[in-house]
Amino acid sequence: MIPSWARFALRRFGLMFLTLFLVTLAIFGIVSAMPADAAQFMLGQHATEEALAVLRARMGLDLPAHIRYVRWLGDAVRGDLGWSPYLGGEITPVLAVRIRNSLFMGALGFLVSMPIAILLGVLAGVLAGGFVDRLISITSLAGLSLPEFVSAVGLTLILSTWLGWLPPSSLMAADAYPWQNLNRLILPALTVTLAILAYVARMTRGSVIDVMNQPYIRTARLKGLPERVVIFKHALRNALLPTITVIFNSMGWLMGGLVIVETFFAYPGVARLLLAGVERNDLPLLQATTLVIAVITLSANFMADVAYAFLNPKVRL
Amino acid sequence: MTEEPLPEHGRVPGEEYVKEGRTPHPGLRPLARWREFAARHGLTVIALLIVSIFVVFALIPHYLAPHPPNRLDVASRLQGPSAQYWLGTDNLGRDLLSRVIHGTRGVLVTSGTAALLGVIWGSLVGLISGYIGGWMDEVIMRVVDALLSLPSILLALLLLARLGPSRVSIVLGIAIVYTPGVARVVRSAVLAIKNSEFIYAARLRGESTLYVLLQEILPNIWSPIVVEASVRTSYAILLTASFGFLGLGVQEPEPDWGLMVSRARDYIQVSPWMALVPVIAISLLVVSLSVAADGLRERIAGTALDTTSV
Repeated sequence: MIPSWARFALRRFGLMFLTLFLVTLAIFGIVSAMPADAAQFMLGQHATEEALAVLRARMGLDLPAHIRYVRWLGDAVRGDLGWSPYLGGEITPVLAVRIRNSLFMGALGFLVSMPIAILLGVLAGVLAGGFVDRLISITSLAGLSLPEFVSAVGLTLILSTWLGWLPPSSLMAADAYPWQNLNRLILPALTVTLAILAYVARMTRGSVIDVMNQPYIRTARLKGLPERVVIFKHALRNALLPTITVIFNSMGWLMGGLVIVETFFAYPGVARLLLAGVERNDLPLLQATTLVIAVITLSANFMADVAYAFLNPKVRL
Repeated sequence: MTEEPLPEHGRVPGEEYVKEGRTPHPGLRPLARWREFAARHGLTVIALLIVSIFVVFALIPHYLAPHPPNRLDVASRLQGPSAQYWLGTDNLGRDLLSRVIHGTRGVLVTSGTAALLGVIWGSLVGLISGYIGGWMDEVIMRVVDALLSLPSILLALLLLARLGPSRVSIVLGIAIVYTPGVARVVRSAVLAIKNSEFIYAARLRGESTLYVLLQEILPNIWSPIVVEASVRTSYAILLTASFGFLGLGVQEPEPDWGLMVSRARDYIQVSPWMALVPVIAISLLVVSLSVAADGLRERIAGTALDTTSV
């Protein structure tokens, strides 16, 4: 007998693939199937006929769109993301390094921010209605509604310009190991997770308040348990369940934030590669980076759903 | 097709008005009524004031800015606030206050148009999908889900790349990105009233689908659409400023707020003012707009909605 959460996971897995299929169609449609001639678009107005012909042949542009789509998808599944004029070579190896850099920075950010977020959320939830709660709630609301480059400026000014603790730029060789330059990573990692920190803190606060009003908490208190035990042993175990899902679900947010943060701190991650594709009209690069980011976001959403179903039997239907 | 639960602000419109009455004290004189509103919604009033100041900036920048936005004064570059330059100068000695004032119009017009277009397109898709239903609804909603699963800036970047960076592309890109989200909200509002008696009555009268959609359904789902528009506008400002920051669609010497921040990045160790001034302008505008939108939502829907449920 398959456990019900596994059945749920299987169905969600199928749905993820359907979504992914639609997303690839959208990406391919926007990038490749637009009316303008792709080769002309990439090389500019002054390209010679020969250069255009070479590029068309190289990218297989003379084939019909549906065949190009199937080829692109087939190659991508086998790990070949194509050839990029800007990189002057295969995309896959370069993209793999950039993804590693971005994910490492994101993971570091989560590692630093999530304990802070949970701590603040629990504090606000336990002291709900008080001054500390209002302070935390208002600050987190502001943190949520501001774009990443605003928090980037704020954090750089405080932690780098005024306190001098961290370097203001994360410039490093793309193939350098990011963990060897940890101090350069902290500022972008904090910036990109700041909005998520605010969000997680708010969600945690809400679920702590919910749990603290449950009858079993009153029972624990009436048994004469010290408040510390009530909070840590009885309340938090249940209150933190939704937080896990929220953290997984904010992956898409992280990926969107990277575009700004990597530009601001000049960090060699996947989002900067995407922007290079935008700036140089490099369509294959654009297609490849978007696809990879989409895959990461969708798998994170999938994991969030499965984790939630695993922890909370009520949604498994 | 089961009916989705309504999002909080997509509740059946109108109910609350009937129950509570639209104006609490119809007998009050206008000034007194305004005073009561201000007392009850202090934060909203402050936010609306700030937003209107920015609107005035956008309307008549030439009368308000103390200096021309692009006048160079290399002798006094990268300075802090002074009697001559109230908020300091940038790396070319241009007055930061004047540049922020002149940049307001670009931000407001771009993001306002984008949000408006997105809301119009999204409403059309949502109306059709919700009212006609069946396999078409199913297909549209799958596509909407797929588009919503991507980070919005990613989709907008793709569109922008293909349309070629310009103001118009930014507007179109943001509008297209917002369409699916609006469509979903409008669709669930339509589903909520689709089976009401007045809709049946109109259909039995022999009215066309177009008539039912525009004359019967649309007037009854105005409030979620207006709320959606106000929320989308403040998000659109974030995206517009982000594109400016990435240098897409705007060029020096245009006094674009995002572009100003990206130029200031290189001088952040020398003079914080160059980065701080545009950043504070964006924050003020966005936060005020979302507070004002919250107030509006409260007034329309009768309940405060948690702003975090994006």
